[in-house]
Amino acid sequence: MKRLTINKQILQDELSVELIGCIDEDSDFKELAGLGQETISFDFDKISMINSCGIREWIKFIDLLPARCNIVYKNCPQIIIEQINMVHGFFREGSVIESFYAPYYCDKCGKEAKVHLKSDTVKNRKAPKSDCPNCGNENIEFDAIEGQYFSFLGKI
Amino acid sequence: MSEFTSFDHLFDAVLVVNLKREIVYFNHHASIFFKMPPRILKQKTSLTQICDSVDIDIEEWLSKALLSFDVLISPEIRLTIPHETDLDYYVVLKLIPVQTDKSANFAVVFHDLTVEKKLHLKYRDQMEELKKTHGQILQADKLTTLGELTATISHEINNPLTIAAGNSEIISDILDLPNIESRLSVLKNANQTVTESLERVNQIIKNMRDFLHQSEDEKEYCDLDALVDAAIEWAQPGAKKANVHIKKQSRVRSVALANRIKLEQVIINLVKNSIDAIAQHSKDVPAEVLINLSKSDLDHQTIIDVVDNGPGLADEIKKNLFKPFQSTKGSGTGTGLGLSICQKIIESHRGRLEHVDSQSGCHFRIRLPLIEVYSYARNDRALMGTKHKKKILVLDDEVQILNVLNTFIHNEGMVFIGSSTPLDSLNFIEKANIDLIITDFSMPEMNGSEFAAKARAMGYEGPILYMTSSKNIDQYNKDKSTLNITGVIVKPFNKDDVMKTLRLALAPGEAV
Ligand SMILES: [Zn+2]
Repeated sequence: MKRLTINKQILQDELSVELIGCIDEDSDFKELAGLGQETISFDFDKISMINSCGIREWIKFIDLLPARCNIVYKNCPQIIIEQINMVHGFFREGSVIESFYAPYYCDKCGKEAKVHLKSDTVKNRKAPKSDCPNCGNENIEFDAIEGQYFSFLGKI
Repeated sequence: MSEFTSFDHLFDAVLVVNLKREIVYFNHHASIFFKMPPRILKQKTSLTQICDSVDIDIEEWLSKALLSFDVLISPEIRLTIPHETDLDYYVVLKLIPVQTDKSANFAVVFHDLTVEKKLHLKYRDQMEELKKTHGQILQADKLTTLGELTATISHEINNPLTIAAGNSEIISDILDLPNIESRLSVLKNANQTVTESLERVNQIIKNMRDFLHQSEDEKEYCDLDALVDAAIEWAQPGAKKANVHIKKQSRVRSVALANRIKLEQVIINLVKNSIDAIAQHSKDVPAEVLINLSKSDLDHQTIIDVVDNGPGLADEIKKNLFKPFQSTKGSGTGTGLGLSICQKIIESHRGRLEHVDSQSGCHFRIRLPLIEVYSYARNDRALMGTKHKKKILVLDDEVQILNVLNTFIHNEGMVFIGSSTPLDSLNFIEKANIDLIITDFSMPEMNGSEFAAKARAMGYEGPILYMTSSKNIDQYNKDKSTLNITGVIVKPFNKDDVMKTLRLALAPGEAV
């Protein structure tokens, strides 16, 4: 299994963190402690796996961040969304989920697509309309259970 | 199928099957667990279209289970998902009968134990790995030591071999003489020396072997004065050759619980290092090595200092003094028994070997715990979990007595704490919970009565036994009531004498 790589940069008031690989029991976020800025953003785009132990490590870490800190989550893949829908505390109250991926399916060409969504485009746990990246079908279907998949948005 | 929607609230995958084993419902989590969108999952009619296991035949298990219409739990099985080849789960299947108005069904709950199982496997592997590495480190350490030992073994046995060879020469010379009879005593003497020297060689080799085999150190109560004398004797030939004078100073009579030969070797080695250093360094004042015995009551330690008036150690050498293969000498003079081994030996006595920075010359200090502390600490592990073990303090200035009683008492499963001076004993009584005291009666510092009075004054209430010859029985009779002395072990004694007295004193009234 690929261990977690943490890339980070601090620019002005923001600490940008890119997480790559697996978030599991071996994940250690302490290198991020003490880097606190006004805003911390986490990019989950390259996370390939997350398990319940990893989530525990994550929550432990998030709890340590200063309360005044703005936390922003970007590009959460489906596996992250599925896991965090089951866990309380992954998102700290007041934090922002800027964007995430959601599964869609084109019944015209059979394409399965992970569509990048901005959180503010999801209303009432309903999947926003999307186009097929393959055939241009303008109304592809959401390929999970909406009420469940978007439940994390109610947690913030 | 709204009667099954309550399963959607579970974080376990649930497939509901009818009595024909057809899937009639899957909960929300099933889609996540099997990595199938509901769109695809809907098309699956049987369990085997979704998952498989090498451990059990799922369909067969299901058909058997369905017969009972009871809750059923499978063993932990490994589950594979055919279209997600890199996924495997460890699950326990739970079968729960679900009766609805229309039909009888079963919910198959996939209780996911993958994380636990993988953690378990991972940590087990890591523990194995750790054990292996640990073993390798130990082995590497041994090999380093072995190299060192090989380099030093010749050095160590050189002295006794030289002595043996010399005496053997003397024997040959005498045997060539016409009147052997007149030289018989010299002959016997030489023969004796040869035997002793070879015995010494044998012991050195045996010790080194034991050291490598990590065999349990045989430790005994040793008089340090005598031990230092013996060490000096072994170092003497080399010292004479190098024109170095070895002096001993001892302000205290001290006893150590030690492996005599090993401790001797450490001292011999320190002295030899000094001799070699002085020999290479011409000086106006007579060269000398001083061995000083003292005691630190504050640290509860016996201290052996080996000090010379040579050139001292170069700063370069000081830094790595106790590293393997490090020598206090330049190359070419042989490594001597490495200081790292010396340190290991001293550490195996729960002591410390240190280099003391001094203005002139070289100064090594051996710190050994006082025997009371050491024999107690040695029993520490035995004490844990066996709090009922009786702790017997024996005070005697003769090391042989301590050794004999140590064997008796230890073999009886009691904790033996030896002490050679009344003051150390009193110090120790203050700190530890002693169940019984056996004290010698005639000691240089104070007699048994005085000691017992002091122990009582300190609040020690347990039994006290005198150990003395019959001539002091009168004193016992007086002290019996005034100092509450429980009994006497009369010298000379045997094992039964000691143990019976001891047991009676510990449990008065009980049959022996
Ligand atoms: Zn399409």
